[in-house]
Amino acid sequence: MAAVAAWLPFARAAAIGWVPVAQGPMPPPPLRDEDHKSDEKLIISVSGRKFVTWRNTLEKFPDTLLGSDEKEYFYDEDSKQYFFDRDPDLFRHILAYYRTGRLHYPKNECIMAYDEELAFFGIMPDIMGDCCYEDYRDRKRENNERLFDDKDSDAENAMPHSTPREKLWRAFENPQSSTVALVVYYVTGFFIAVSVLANVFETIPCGVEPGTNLSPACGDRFSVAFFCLDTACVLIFTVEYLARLYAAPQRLKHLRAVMSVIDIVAILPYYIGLFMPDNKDLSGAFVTLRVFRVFRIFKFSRHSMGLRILGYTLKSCASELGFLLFSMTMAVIIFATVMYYAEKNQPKTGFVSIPAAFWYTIVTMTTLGYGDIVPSTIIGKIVGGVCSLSGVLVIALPVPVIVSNFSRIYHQNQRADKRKAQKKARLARIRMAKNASGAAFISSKKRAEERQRLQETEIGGAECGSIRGSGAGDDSGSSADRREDVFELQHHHLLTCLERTTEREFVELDQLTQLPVCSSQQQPQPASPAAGSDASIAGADAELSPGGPAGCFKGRWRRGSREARTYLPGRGRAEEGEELNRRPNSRYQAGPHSSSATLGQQQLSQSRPTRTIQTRTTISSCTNRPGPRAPERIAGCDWALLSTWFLLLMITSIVCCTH
Amino acid sequence: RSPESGPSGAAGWGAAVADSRAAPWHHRPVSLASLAQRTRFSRQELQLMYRGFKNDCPSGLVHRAAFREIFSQFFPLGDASAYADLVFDSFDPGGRGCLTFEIVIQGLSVICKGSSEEKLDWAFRLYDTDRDGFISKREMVQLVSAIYDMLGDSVWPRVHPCDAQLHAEKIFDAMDRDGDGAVTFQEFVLACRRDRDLDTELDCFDTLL
Repeated sequence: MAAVAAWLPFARAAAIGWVPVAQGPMPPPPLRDEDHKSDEKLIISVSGRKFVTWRNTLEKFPDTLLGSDEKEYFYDEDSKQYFFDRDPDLFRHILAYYRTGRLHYPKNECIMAYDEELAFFGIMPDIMGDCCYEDYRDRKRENNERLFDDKDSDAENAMPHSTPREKLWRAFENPQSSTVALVVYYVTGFFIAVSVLANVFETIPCGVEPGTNLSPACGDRFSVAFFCLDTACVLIFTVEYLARLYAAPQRLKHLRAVMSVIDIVAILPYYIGLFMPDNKDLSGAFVTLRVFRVFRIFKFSRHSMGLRILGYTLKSCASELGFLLFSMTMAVIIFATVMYYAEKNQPKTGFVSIPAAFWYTIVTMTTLGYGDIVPSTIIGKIVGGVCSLSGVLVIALPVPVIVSNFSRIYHQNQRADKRKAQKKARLARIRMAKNASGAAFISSKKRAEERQRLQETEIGGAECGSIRGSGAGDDSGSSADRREDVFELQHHHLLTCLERTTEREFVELDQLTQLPVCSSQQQPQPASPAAGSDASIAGADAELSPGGPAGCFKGRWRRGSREARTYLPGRGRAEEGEELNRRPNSRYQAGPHSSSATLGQQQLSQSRPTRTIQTRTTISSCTNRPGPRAPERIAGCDWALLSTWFLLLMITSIVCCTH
Repeated sequence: RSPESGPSGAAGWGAAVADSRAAPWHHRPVSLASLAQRTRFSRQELQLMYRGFKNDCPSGLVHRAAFREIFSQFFPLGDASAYADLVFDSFDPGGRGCLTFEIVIQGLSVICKGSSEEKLDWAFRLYDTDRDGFISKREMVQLVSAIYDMLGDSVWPRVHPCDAQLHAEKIFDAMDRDGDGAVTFQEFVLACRRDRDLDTELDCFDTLL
């Protein structure tokens, strides 16, 4: 509304026309001459860059920061301007909104930064002009998807206490979540491969049967063996299907899912065959049903990302595919009709009917050209030529759309995987930096306390400087210290209060020996790291607590060569693991207060400065998240698949050869 | 007298140039000094108003549709287009379909800063849409309906369709002393001055800039 504030005099003046028809007197005007300020220019300084505008311009939108009284909080009396400590480049766009009434989105800016600026200045992004709104929404959606993906996988992994059903479901959906899941994944993959190969090989002629001249198919010669194999596979698939059905959070929805339908179709023919009576009439139908066993190969789509992407692409390009189909059908009908009428009177022609001409048209349009039907008249040949040319065109048109869709989705997927892989490394580096700063903070706190203690024990305060000089090496002068570390001193004091409250003590780097031994001494220890951690180091410590009991088993199992890599969760690179092992005390721990007598064992271990193999293992055990997720595992799945296939081929060929 | 620079240069505009009654596409007002001289606004007020005007109408012209939209922004709950049309017509006697800044300012100078007679004169012209010097009952009804339209639905008591008609007839009958079915300017002024403090009421619409 305020965008047209300049027209207010006009509108008010036009209201004079109401006076003659008014049935009552008008209210008196609101403003008096005395308390009115005429327009003035305001100076807004954003990080030093000055923007000057009229007050009225800003007050056009009174529900934003600049248009309301809120900007008075930022008024600097000394320089008589409004100072904002924000990005001046983005502020330009904000101010343009006030000036023109339209909000634009600068395409070269990061969308999160822009959003934050809008939120700060109280401007709703929805009022963006049509010129920029679509672009803004697209970028926002893309960004949200990206963050949602990452958050999703985080949320999944951060659920320590879930029911067995949930665990099972997670195991099925994400094979990397636990070793059991991985095993299940590979086993099902193996059996799918076995089943498909068995289907294929049972139709190969298997050598001459003694006593006759026939060479029956392998399936008939070794029908028992193949039946047993089939039974085993179907059993596995049935168990898997029922397990999935049980674990699914929404069973009905799961029943309707594509993969579930494929599972059913894969195992149903077997059961139908079991219960079918040995009737010759029905066995024909039964044989047809066996064709459906080939659908088992679609079960591989759970194992292969590429296959899933292909399926998704086809689904998303449904309209293009539909267009392709439609235009092909149209062209086929047209050309087939013309060819039929051109060729029908030829002797011994293949064009006996229009549907028969369909076959010729399709073969020609797709440039196959089998040659089983050929035109012999001149008109027929001309039409055939035109048909093949147009076939190339019609097919070539929608294909690039499908290809580009596939490429986009595939790359998106690859980027997501790459991001996930990079994220672990990035997070670990960030964690390291945080630990280092946290540790440095604690050391400086210790030093300050030392100084305090020395000061207190000193009778005369004059020798402070000399004593302090012998202490930690970073003090330059007593008074300088005191002046600049007021903030830090108060921060230290805060942490000290926390220590007193929880009867714990922050320990320094070199005193770090080992985490609480997980098995029996599950004391308040796991709780204290979380409670005693500084806000800045909370991120590192939050991982400790959930790792507690469950991690022990893994720790013991993972001893030996893996310990270097599994020291910090999610370390995929051995070299980074090495680097970490060199400074394993970059972890900041909260140990028990040294004066507490109940945890005698901890005291003992605390005094030990060196770390042993046990130490490292237990550290790794408690800090280990279930299942390291190295990026090579993603490629490793496909590798495993390939090797499984190869193995199967070898086995089956050996089996065949021995017979 | 206001200079109207018609479209020039581009070949596509050639036909439009020939038509002298074609709507101009851009307009630059006369100098600030002369406008300040001619009207009763001060320089600062003119500057302020022109800045707002130019911001909303960069071409310097207000067309009927744009004016309707601007006017409607002040009455968000109802439909102000009918009243906006009446106001637009009262400012645009030539019927060219667009207003320039000078026309607007000159009109406002009369309405805002004029005497009560001048204001009533403008009001009379607002009511008298066919410019015959008389206000007929139909014109009164039209105006009152336009005012009621601006209310919208969220009012209490609710607006019935015949309310505007009844109101208009009542006022008209009160104004039309001699009962000849037409209200002249004198009757209009008399009716307005009767039992209300006209000057104060008319002044309350002054806007401070």
